[in-house]
Formats: sequence, C-alpha cells, structure tokens
Amino acid sequence: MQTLKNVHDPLGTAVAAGFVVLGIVLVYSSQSMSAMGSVFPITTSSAMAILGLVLIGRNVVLGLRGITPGSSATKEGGIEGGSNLRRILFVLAMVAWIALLPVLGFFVASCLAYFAIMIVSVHERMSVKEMALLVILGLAILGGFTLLMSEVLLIPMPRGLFF
Amino acid sequence: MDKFIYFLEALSFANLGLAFAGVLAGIVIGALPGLSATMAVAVLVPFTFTMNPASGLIVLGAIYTGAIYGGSYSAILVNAPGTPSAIATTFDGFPMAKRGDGALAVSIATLASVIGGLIGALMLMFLAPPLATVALAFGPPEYFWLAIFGLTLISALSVGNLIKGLIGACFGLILSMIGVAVIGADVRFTFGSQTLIGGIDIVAGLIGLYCIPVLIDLVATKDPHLKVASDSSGFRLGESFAILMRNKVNAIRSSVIGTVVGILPGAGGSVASLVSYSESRRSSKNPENYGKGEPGGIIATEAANNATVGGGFIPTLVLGIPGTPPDAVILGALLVQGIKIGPQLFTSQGSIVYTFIFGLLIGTLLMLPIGLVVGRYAYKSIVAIPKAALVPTIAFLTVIGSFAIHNNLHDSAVMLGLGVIGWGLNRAGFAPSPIVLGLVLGQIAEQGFVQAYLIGNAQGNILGQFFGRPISLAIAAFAILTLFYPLAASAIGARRAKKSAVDQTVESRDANA
Repeated sequence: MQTLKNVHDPLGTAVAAGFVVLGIVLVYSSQSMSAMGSVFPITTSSAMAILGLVLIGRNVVLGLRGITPGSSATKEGGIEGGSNLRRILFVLAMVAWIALLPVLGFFVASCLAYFAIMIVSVHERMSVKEMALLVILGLAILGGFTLLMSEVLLIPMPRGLFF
Repeated sequence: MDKFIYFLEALSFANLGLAFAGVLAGIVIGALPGLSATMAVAVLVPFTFTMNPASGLIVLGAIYTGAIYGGSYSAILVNAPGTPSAIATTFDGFPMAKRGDGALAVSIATLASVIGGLIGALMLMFLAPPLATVALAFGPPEYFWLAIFGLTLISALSVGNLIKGLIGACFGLILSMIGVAVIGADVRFTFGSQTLIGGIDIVAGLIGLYCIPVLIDLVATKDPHLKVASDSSGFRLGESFAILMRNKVNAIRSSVIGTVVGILPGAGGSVASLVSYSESRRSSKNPENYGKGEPGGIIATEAANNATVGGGFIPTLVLGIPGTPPDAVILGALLVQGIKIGPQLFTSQGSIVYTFIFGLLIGTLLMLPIGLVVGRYAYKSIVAIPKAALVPTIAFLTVIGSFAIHNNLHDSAVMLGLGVIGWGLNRAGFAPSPIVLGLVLGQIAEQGFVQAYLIGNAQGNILGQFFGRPISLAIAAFAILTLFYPLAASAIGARRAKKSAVDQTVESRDANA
C-alpha cells in the first residue's frame, strides 16, 4: 500500500494499467481474425500493452526513488481546477442533445440543449436585457444554421415529434 | 501567346465574380468543423453544369481552395480543425490565439495558404505531365513508409512524455482499425455493435478529440476563451509578412512537399501537412518552440495543405486518377462537361485547362483580401461573443458538423464519446495529437503494409518490397531521422552545454591563477 502511495504520476499509471488490460483483451479478440486482418491489430495491441507496462514500471521506480511528479496535464492540456459540477452538467446536456434529436426533432432538441448549455456556462449575474440579447442571438444562430443545413446544403435533418 | 489569351479569358468579369463567390463560400464551409471541402464541392457541382466548362471549373477550384484554407480559422480560434488537413494548424495556431496572437496567426495562415496555393497551381501549369509519373512510381510500400513518416511526428509532439505519446498513437491506430477491414473484410473490435461496423470517421474523431475537451474546460471557469492582445486591431500584416520572410525556405519546402504528396492518390492534405510540419520542426533552429505557438508550424501546415489543391489536380487531369476526394468530384464534373482526361488534355483542350489553372491562380490570390477580412471578423467575433453564447454555439457546431458527415447521429455519439475519453486521457498526460495521428494515418499504413506484404510474398521477396525500392528507402531514412532527431538534438545540446560549462570553469581557473 505504501508503494502505491509513492507511485510517480498515479493517474497516468492507472490509465496505463487500463491500456495494458485493453491491449490484452484486443490481442485475445484478434485471434479469430484472418492472418492478413490480424497482423496490424495484434502488433498494435501488443505494443500498447508492452508500452503500458514500461510506463507502469518507470513510474514505480521513479516513485520508489522519491521523485515527485509535476502536473500530469500535457502541453496540450486544458484548464486545471474549475467547477467539476459544470463539466458534468455540460457532458450530460450534450448526451441528452444527441439522444433527443430523433425524438423531438432537430430544431426543438437543439433549442433545449443550446439554452441548457448556455445556463451551465454563465458565471456572473446578468441583466434581463443581456439575457434577452443572448436568447435572441441563440435563436438566430440555431435558425440560421438549421436553414443552411436543410435548405441550402439539403442535409436531411432528424424529424421527431416536432421539427 | 496562347497562354496569355487563356489568362485574359480567366480574367473576365464573370469569371472573377465566380472565383470571388467560390472562395468566399469555400472559406465559410471549410471553417465549419465537419463540413469538408469534398462536401462543399459536391453540393455545388450541379450549379456548374449550366455554366461553360472553364467557368464551372473555376468555381469548383475556388470553392476547393477556399475550403482548405477556411479549415485554419476554426483550428486557430477554437482548436477544432475545420478540415482534416488543418490538424497540424491547431498545434501552434490555438496556443497563439490563447496568448492573444489570434489575428497574427490568422494573417500568417492566410499568407502561407496563398503561397502554397500559388506554388501548387504553378507546378500544375508547368510540370503536370512529368510530375504525374510520380503518382505511378508510388506503390503500397511507399504509402506505408509515408504513413510511418507522418507517425514519427509523435516523437516531436511528445518530448518529455514519449511513452505516453506512443501509447496514445497505438490507441489511435486501434481506433482506425474498428469496423470492416479494407483488406480481408474482417469485422474488427466492434464488440457486436452495429454502430461501429462502419468504423470511426476521422472527422468525427477530430472534432471530438480536439473540440469537446476545450468546451468541457471552458464551462468550468470564468476565464475568457481567448486573451485579447493590446494591439488586436488590424491584420498585423506587416508583422506576418516579416515572419513569412524569415520562414521563406520553410514555406517553399512545405509547398513543394504539399504538391508532391497531393499528387499521390489517397494521401491528401492531412498527410501533406503532417509531413511538412515534421520537416519544418526538424529543420528549425528552435524546434522546442513547436507546439507552443511557433508561427513556423502554421506556415508549414497551411502552405502544404493549400499546395495539395494544385498537386491533386495533376493526376486528375493527366491520368484521370483523382489525388484527393474533392478531385474525384471535380473529375465527375469534367466528364459531365464532355472533357476527355489524359496527357493530351493540355494540347487538345488547352483553352479549358489553362483557363481553369489561371482561374485557380486568381482564386488563390483573391483568398488574400477575402481571407484577411473574413479572418479578422471571425477573430473579433470569437473574442467579442460572451462565453455564455460561445460555448453552446461551438457545441451546436460540433453536433451538426459530426451529423453532417454521413447524415447519421451515430457519428455525433462517437464524436462526443471520443471527446470525453480524450479529455480524461489528457488529464492523465496522454495528449490528443498522437491519438489523432494514429487515427488519421492508421488505415493508410495498414493498407500499404498488407498490400506490400502480399505482393512481396507472391514474388518471394518480402524484405525487398519494404527495403529494396529507392523511394521507400528515402522516405524511411527521413522517418528515422525525424524520429531520433529530438533525442539526438537534446543529447548534442547537453554535450555542448557541458563542454561550455567545462570551458568556463577552466577559463575562471586560469583567470584566478
């Protein structure tokens, strides 16, 4: 247990363990494929599992030597901190958006999800005028793009209970 | 003299107006993630059937070149490449925009795109027949090595985190294998899901992996999306031009790479821009700045991807083999217009072909003023729109963009799923770019490898297929050089630093003595 606490980059190590398991599962599921179809999957899955083991071993050794990790976020990394509740609400709104598109119809589902995400994104108090402006802007963007997609680009948009 | 007449024909008021409208429409469609250059060209092809052949082709060429360039806007301003060929633009464009240099990044992308487009079109005009033979010299082993060359960019993108970068690339390669295999037709890694049989669409993956993590973090804090530079008014054209002049070799080299890769059927702008970015970083004096907002990275990517437009037309017009998907659509339009493709095209129907090439050149030049104006307002809009409107608008674009690829909500679901996975992996230090590289290049690498293996096996010389062909060997050598260059450069730098420290110690001892 003490060793686990000392592991260098615990989050990266846990994800690497996940990749090792995934690699083993994929190598196993590639056995039923034809020789040509399985060459790349077996090679890549094995490489992923081996590299995962190398990363775990490296992190354990560095942890035992007492080397403390810096931030695990990459240079392409996002913002550390902030509200995790808002992050979860945003993802849930996106899931609901995609799920409701064929049920409610493209425009109605998009309106509901758009304004739900707008509420999740607001961090400061707004006047009634500012809110009205945001709603008008949102409706204009949604309406404009819906018309562009359905009437100009002739993309068949999902139609459900409404439109 | 004939060419001058064709040039004047292309300069007619109607053709100029069509080129202007085509470039503008292409830029707008290309800037929207999910709406690709292929879609822009395909949707507008029927409108060109009523025009004369040269005017119709000018419109299609202008839309195509505008769409490839337009992909850079969303890559720079919202970290979502509008087209796959703008993947590498996000590496440096978005960091520049985040630190307040968005207008500068857009201007640099515009200038580089114009340079790349012009060089590609000029090579199409003067070198088309000899260059078309390059397409025939490329077989499966060369495609395999070219994809491997693109993958070596991982070593550059993952400095200090190479193992995680390689794991990410393996994950991306596995994502590219999901669905029915191109060779052998095995159904792979679908786990019984009907949704995954068609595989993971590259564009849906791109939008998810690059755009959704940005949105997830954007809603979490009060901070603005982009910083605003104190001198954000204006195009910063002088500064952009000075940077371009310092990177002139980079711009020309990337344009040539873009044209040559564009000639290869199936490779396309994404491979061209990744190879150019890799070469640009390798030959730079400051390779460590790449990925942190280095203008040279934007110049390499944008020059290369716009050069593929001219390059792609070379095998299309000379051999009848489309270099890229939009070329295939344009090839269809040419056939409908009654134009016979082949090496004789340049002599038998020179008036149409040369008017078209001059139209392409004019469209590329028009991209400069149109692009700067549209880019400036796009940047100002992104900066000015409050976060409460920006986040749902970008989210809306990700949903419709992924849906529009195949008119299928499964792509939207895959996009969101990959985005959430990408955000989680990024938190643990696994950057999205190696995953994207694996996803984009996986199919090209696998197809090239398996075909070369089968040919080699039939000839009883498998190793000869991979290591016995001069072009293969040259690409493999560049791949190895690029892979180990960051390690070698840091080792040489460390040795130099050590040597200079020793010299300083000796000098100080001598002075003390």
